[in-house]
Amino acid sequence: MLNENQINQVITLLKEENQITDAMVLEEMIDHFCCSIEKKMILGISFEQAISETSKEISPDETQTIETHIEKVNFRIRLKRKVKSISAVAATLVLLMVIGADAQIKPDIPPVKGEFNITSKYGTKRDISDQKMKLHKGIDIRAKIGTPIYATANGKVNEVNFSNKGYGNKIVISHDEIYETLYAHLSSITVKANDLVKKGDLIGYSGNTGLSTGPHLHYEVLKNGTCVNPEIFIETSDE
Amino acid sequence: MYNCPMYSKELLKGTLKTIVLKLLSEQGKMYGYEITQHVKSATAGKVLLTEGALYPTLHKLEAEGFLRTEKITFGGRIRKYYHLTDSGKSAAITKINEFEEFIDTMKFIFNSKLSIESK
Repeated sequence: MLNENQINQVITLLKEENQITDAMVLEEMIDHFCCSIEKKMILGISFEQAISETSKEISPDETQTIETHIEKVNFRIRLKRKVKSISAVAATLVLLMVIGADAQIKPDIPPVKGEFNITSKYGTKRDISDQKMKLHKGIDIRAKIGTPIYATANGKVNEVNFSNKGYGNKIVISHDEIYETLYAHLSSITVKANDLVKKGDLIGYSGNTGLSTGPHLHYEVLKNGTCVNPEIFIETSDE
Repeated sequence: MYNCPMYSKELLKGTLKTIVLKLLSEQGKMYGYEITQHVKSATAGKVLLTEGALYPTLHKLEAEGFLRTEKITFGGRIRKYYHLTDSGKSAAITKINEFEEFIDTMKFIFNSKLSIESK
């Protein structure tokens, strides 16, 4: 067995001659060199001669090869781990997005039952009583006074407002943090603020209140507080 | 790839993993130097593993989950032993079977060639 002093000479050789910098490679090479030296010494040669022979047999080139290859292997492991963790994060994100999208409560049914006519589409600039051109924030659905109006998605009644100006009698329902719907010009309202409603629940009856030129329902969908075209949510099912 | 006084590098390329897995499945645990010496004596010096080939292979197999290591303090220095993991054991069986079958197939090819020539 090599003594401490001899082991230290091996360590010095590996660090200075072979220029091993990786601690793990160094540790393994110390044992390897020591084994080789010990075997030669058993055969009867001195430590000095044995270390010199071993050093020739296992050249700095050889140990450099080991170090380079092991670094590559370790790099690949780290890379794989990184890729794995990145893909895990990505997968989670995608999953959350999918679940999130699914969890969004989209107002995807029409606010009236049966066939309906849209008399004024979303986005149409139209002439209203003050003769100014404005963006139409929702859709107008032709409806006789007293036509039942239904909540287009599950939610909570955010606002019930009776007025003979602007929107007239209106209801605003918050569906989740993203969507809100607004129903205007109603003749009567059957819900009150903070009521929880389900998709398809009766909330009131259409009318001609407020700034309206004839009986109809003005229906808006707000996504994150901004008006969007309600038609794109209403699933064109065959019902 | 590794020092071989008898055989060409091309011939032995790709066998090192199999050799390591085979030895470890027989011996249970081995350290680097031990493997080189074992191969040397088992092949009567016909196959000499160089350190530059052996150690990267050991680390690669470890990275692939086929080997696990155990460090033992041994006379003022640390000795690193390699063991087969469970997946290493099944990989060893697969590799060894594949290699034995390969040898048999080679024999078949060369024997049949010999018989054609002798006609």
